[in-house]
Amino acid sequence: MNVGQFEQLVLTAILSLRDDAYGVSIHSKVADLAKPKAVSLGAVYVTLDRLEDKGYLSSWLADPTPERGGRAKRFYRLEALGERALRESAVTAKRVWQEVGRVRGWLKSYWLLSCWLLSCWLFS
Amino acid sequence: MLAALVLAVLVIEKSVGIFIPPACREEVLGDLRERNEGAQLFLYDALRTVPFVILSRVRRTTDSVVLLMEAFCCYVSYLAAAWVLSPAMVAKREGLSRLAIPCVIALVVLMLADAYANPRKKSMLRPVLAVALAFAAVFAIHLARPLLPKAIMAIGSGMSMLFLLVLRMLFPPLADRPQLAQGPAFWQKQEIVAAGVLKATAAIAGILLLGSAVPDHLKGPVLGMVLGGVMIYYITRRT
Repeated sequence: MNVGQFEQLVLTAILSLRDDAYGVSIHSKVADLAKPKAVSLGAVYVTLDRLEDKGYLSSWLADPTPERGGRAKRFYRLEALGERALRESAVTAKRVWQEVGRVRGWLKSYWLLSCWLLSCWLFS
Repeated sequence: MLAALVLAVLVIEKSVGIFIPPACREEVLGDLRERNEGAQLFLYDALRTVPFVILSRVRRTTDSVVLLMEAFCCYVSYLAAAWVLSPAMVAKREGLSRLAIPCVIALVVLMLADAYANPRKKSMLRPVLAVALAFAAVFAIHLARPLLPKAIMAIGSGMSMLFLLVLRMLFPPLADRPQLAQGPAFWQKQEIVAAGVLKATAAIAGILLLGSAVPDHLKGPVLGMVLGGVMIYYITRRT
C-alpha cells in the first residue's frame, strides 16, 4: 500500500485528533507536522477526498454549530485499511532511516581510515 | 458598522458558495467561516481553497473509462458526419483537430455537471439534462463563434447526443450509482469496472483477430459458436 508523504501527514493528523478530526483541525495539525513548509487548506481537502476514495478514511456530516455561521462540520475517521497503510509507511521509513544510519556509519569509518593511512604515509 | 461588516461577510459567503459543488458546500463554507472573521480574509482564503475543492470533486465524480468512451463516441460522430458531408475536411490535419473542439466543450460541461450535481436530490432525468446542457453550451459557443460547418455540427451533435445518452443510461454518473450495504468501496468499484472493460476490449480484439484468419464461408458458424460459448460461460458462472 503506497501512501505519499503528504497523505501520511494527513493520516497521522486524523489519528492524533481522534474524535475532533474535521477540516480546520486537520489542517492546523498537518501544518504543525509539516513545519516549516506551508500547507494550504485546499491541498488538505484534495488529500482527504483521495484517501476517502481509497477506503482509508470515512466521513460523516455532524450537527451545525453557531460559530461556523450555522454550518455543519464534516468529521473524518481512520479506517482499518488506513491504519494499516500508515503502519506500513512508518515501518518502511524506519527501515530507510536505519539503512541511512548504517551507510553514514560506514562512510564515517572509511573517512577515519583514509585520514589515518594518509597521516601514516605523510609522517613515515 | 458592525452590521455592515456582518452583511459583507454574508454576501461574500453566498457568492463563494455558488462556486462550491453542493456535495461539499456546507463543510467548506463552515471551515472558511471558522478560520476567517473578516470579509477580506474570507475572500482571500476562499480564492486559494475553492479551485482545489472543485478539482477534487471533478476527479471524484468522473469515471475515466466512461469519459474515454464518451470522448470516442462523440468524436466518431462528428468524424462520420464530416466524412459524409465534407471529405476534404477530414483529409486535413486542421480539419481533424477542429472536429475535436465541440467534443471537448461537451465533455467539460458534462464533467462539471456531474461535479455540481446535488447527491441529495436524485433524478431520473439527470443524465438527459446533463447531455442537453452540454450540447446547449456547444451550440451557444457555436453561435458566438462558428466551430464547424452547420450541417456537420447539426448531424454530429445529434449522433453524439444519442450515443452519450445511451452511455449515461448504461453507466450512470458515479454519484448516482446505487451503493449496496455490503458492497465494495468506491475505489474498488472503479477498479472492477476498469478491469471488466479492459477484459471485454481485449476479448473483442482477440475475436476480431481470430476472425480475420477464418475463411469467409466459415465466419458465420465460428462467430456463432464463440458467442454461444461466451453466453454459456456467463450463464453457468452466475448459477
